[in-house]
Amino acid sequence: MTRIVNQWRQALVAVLSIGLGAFAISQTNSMSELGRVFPTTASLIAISAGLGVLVQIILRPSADTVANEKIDHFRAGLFAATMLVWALSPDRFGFVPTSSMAVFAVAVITRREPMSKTSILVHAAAGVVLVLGFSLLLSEVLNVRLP
Amino acid sequence: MTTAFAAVSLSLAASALHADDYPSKAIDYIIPYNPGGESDVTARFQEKFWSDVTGQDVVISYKPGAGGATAWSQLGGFDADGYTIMNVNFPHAILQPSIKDVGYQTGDVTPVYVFHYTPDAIVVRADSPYQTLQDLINFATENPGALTFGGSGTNSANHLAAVRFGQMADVKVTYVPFGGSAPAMAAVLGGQIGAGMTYTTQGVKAGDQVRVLAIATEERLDIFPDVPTFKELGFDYVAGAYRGVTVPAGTPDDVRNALSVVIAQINDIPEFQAQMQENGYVLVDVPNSEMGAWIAERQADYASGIETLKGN
Amino acid sequence: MLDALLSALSLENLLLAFLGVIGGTIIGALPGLSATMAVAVLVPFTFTMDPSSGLIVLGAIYTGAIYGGAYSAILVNTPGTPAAIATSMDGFPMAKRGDGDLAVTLSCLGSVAGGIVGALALLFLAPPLSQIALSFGPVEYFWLAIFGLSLIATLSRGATLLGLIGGGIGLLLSCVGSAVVGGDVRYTFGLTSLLGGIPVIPALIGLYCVPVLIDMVIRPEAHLERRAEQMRGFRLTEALSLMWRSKFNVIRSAMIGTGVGIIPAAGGSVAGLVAYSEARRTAKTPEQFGKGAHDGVIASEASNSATVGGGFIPTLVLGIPGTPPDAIILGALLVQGIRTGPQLFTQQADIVFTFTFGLLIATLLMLPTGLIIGRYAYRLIVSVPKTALAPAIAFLTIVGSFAIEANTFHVLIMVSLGIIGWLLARIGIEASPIVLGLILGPIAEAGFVQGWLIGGAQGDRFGMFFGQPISLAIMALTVLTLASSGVFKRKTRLECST
Repeated sequence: MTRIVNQWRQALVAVLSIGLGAFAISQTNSMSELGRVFPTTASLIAISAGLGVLVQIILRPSADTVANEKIDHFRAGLFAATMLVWALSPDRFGFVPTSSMAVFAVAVITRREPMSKTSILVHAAAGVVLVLGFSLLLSEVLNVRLP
Repeated sequence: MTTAFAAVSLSLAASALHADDYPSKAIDYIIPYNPGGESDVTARFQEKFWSDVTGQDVVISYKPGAGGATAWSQLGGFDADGYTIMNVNFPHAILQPSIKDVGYQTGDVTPVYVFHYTPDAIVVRADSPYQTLQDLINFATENPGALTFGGSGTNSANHLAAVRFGQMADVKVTYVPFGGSAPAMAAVLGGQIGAGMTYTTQGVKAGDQVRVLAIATEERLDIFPDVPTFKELGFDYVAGAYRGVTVPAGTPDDVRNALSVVIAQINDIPEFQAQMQENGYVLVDVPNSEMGAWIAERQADYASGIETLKGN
Repeated sequence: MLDALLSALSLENLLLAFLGVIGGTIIGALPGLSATMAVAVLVPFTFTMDPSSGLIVLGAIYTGAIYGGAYSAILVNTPGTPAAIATSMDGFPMAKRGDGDLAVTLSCLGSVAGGIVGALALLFLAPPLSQIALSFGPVEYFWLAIFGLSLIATLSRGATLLGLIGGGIGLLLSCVGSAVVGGDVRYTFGLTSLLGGIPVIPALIGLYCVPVLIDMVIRPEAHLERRAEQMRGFRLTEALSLMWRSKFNVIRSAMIGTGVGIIPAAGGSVAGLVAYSEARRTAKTPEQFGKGAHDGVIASEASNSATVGGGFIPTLVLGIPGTPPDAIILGALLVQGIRTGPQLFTQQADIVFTFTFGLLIATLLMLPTGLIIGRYAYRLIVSVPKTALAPAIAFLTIVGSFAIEANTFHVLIMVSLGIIGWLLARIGIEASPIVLGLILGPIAEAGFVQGWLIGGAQGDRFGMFFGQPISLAIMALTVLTLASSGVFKRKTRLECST
């Protein structure tokens, strides 16, 4: 897998890492003496690694003509949103209905060619069977209470 | 006014529905710790007799985290119908909320029955130089802070026991918290710590690899005929981790009483009693009706220890 | 002992072992449905069984579940259990290049070999080996965790600094919640749901699987490459010859797995990582690791399966469970009226030996079942169209992160970490350093704090951390591993493309 990375992005992550570390350290005031050691160490690792990345970028700026891999931001965003809604809904609308809908939604987001009616039906049916099967496995065999 | 009336009549209706045939389906029994510990084992012992007593099953699951606080802080979110019950430990459920903000108050935990306790016990490795409790106290007196007590968790029964032992014997000891009783015992057996401030049950499990120096019971236990109680040694100390079963705070009284009766019945089964006692548990019976007074008594008992823990 | 063997070979016990392995493998293959859960559910059924039969079925499920984790690790880059983390590091690259079938077969052979070594150690050497558990104190745990964390540097392939950022994030995530040692409530931002910390399995599922899913959704090409000659059987002879060539790796990894399994609180994830690191350090072509090296898959699987037998050693001899499933089985033993401890091997030896033979038989049964189930799993993943595969896997991530504790908050954590993980991966910070920090952080911290307290009480903190033989040996191994991976060499340029 080739992943060519833009130095600007690396710099951004380095700054975020430093920020995260600084924030984490600022929170250690309320901790006990021994409880503070570990978060502080972890923060220092994040901060120094972030600084290291910045130094390397400044010392050795490579030719910044990175051809970014084309990302399908639309699909990625849609998928991420679906997953978030999926995670938040079962408590309100029940596990089986939300999951059946979400499974179908992910199929629609993933598809490239237009789907035939049969194919839509097959996918929907397969989704419902999958969801029902697992719900039964969880609630009946593994004793997990579903919302 | 109308709402209140509706709520009352609703709860009356609900309880009328519940009380006679409770339990009419399987009950979820949540253990707020990892499997394998005392809470799990005793629930498993109960599970074995549960369906004989009630005609229904009990389904055990685990919600470990934060020394039990994760589960207890979620207790209020479950249906208050008596079909979700949870194991609860004292002093944990009193200590935790009085020392840190752990997402629940002691009053949110409303046990219907406390069915046993695991007495505190001081154990050392079989080849340890400490033959008696007095040896241990002498060492701690001569070397303040050098005696290490390993136990399970922070602000836990073991932690409190170590603090109270220090107060009673007027010595300074170092309490070293572990992630559970088992790793603490591993450190005792491995010789990394001086002694274990743990429960009788751990002494039973480790068998003759360890020597139990003293136990915090009223009288000696049959399984440890040669081990003195703290009382015999001049310390007025009877303590341990008390375990009970709690339901969410809003559960109707008749359901609570019905559940209390179920657990009392299991506690009465001779086979259950034998199994508990062989493994170092001491049965107690605190039913629903006496719970309020019992908890108040516990809180008074722990008060001075809590002040010391807060100061740490 | 012969009686025990015969009793383990009874039709009933064989059938139980067989069903246990199948059920365990399937449950283990589904991310989130863990060995712990499978064993916990079955415990009440064993109450009515003969003690040794009950133990055999629990042991078989456990063995199967640990192995089953390899499928999701190899085929969808999602270690279903922490034990399979190292498997995914080379298993998934193998699957990507079209060698998924070979990786599955190798993982099965490796698991069987490791499982046998672990079970034999339990059978013949349990009492003496249990002493290993006792020689590991807080400080040794601390250094072992540091050794594991040093893998971050070796794994991040030329982008050590980015790996360290990931490690730092993981370590900070591991601080969230109420600290077992010390009781501080850290970084919960007032959310009681965070008191218990970031749950490991939902985090694993999110960090590893969600990025794979997003890639699956946004890329037009198939999830795994389909080769023309793809349905070429099990590739068993090829796998066997690879195993033979790696025989030292197999034996070393199985021994590491047994040893780490004996150490309570370390478990399969640490075993897999240590064995993987050692395989990489001693390999002729260490640069192949992480890109689909056969030895990586073999090392991880041989060692994590060996932890099953190894973990039973302290459980049965000392009454100190090696792993969470061991803890449940220990509880089941007590309910059955079996008292663990050194005397178990003399007074109730028949039960122990029947159980151990049962475990051995279950491990052997894993060979045919594992190969067949693995083959179907592979076929399913390569032949199901993406429009069905992506939703199905997405559903499994939701189910898996929910099922562990029936908690929808865990699902939210899984999704959020997954999206963050995908963004970080785009910049070159992979999931593994974050996960290593999350898993090893608490072990390191507990060991450090306990060692500090004990060292303080004894008035010799320096000697506590730097003056004990096992600690020194682990430190030396850490330095050796770092040196051989070239971390100390000056880098010529910052790169994270390979």
